[in-house]
Amino acid sequence: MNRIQQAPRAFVVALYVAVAYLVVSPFLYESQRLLPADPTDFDWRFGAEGFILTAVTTPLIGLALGTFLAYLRGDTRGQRVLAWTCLALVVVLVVIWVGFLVDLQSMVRSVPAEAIGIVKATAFRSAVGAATAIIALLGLSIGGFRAAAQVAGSKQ
Amino acid sequence: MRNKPHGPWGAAVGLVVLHLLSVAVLEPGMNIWPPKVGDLIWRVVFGTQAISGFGLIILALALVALSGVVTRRRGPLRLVLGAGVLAMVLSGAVVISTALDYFQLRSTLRPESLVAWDAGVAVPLVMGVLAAMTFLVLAVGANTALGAMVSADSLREPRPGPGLIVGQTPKDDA
Repeated sequence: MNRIQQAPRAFVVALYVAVAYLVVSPFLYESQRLLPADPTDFDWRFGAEGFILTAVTTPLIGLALGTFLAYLRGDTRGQRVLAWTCLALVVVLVVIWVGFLVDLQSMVRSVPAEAIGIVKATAFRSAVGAATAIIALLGLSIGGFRAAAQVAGSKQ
Repeated sequence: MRNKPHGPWGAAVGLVVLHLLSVAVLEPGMNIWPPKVGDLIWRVVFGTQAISGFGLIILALALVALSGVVTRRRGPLRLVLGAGVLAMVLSGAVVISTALDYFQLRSTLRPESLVAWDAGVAVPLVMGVLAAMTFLVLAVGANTALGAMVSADSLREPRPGPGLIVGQTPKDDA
């Protein structure tokens, strides 16, 4: 039994709350800038997609630490919850990512020629960052499910 | 519970690290693109932007080190040792070159904007020094963990053969 498995329950709960804060807070922070929501407005939609895609780093760190904590605890339920959370985030981000790339085509056509470079550079940063985050979240999800299955198998 | 290496875990940590490194490079990189190496102001801005990406690199290395310690694998720790030393040298070089460039640039700035410039460059420089120290500490920590792993393994491994009696040489044994 390792030290984290011997740690008091209140301490572990506090760590999980910290993980939840890391996952939720960037999206809450971005929501301030995105309200009132108007998905029919092209500018709002494109901006919202960009904000969400660039806000994903901190939740990813939180989920990685949470999955790590659940693994060290041998907490199969925690591992599965976090793996499902990663998977749900992957689905949402893939939809937003595709929407962002589609909207980018319209945006490039509508901006002045001198601004195309800046728009493309910013979009490149958001798209590549989000793509690596999606792959990492998928890896965390698969890893979480497999590790949970291994821990559950070793307990039986 | 004895922690064993988990294939999916190693891959997941690698992917998270890849994301952190891509953001650490892309975010500041886009702010200083296109490069103008001959321009003094660009070089100072490059230094401060590069230093702003060090935090994510430190986080990535710490994550790799943590996974190496938990799964008892030497590969990640060797990676942190090498990358930590390299990052320390590079970050030190960035801090020194940015400081030298700024001293050169400072004499050309208007007096009323000096305070803002001083603050804008001093804070990243202090952060850069702290980052270089953190890289060094990570490398030293990884080296210590590697040493501890080697000594723990040598204690666990059974010695081959019947063993030698004190004062006896392998030739005598044969």
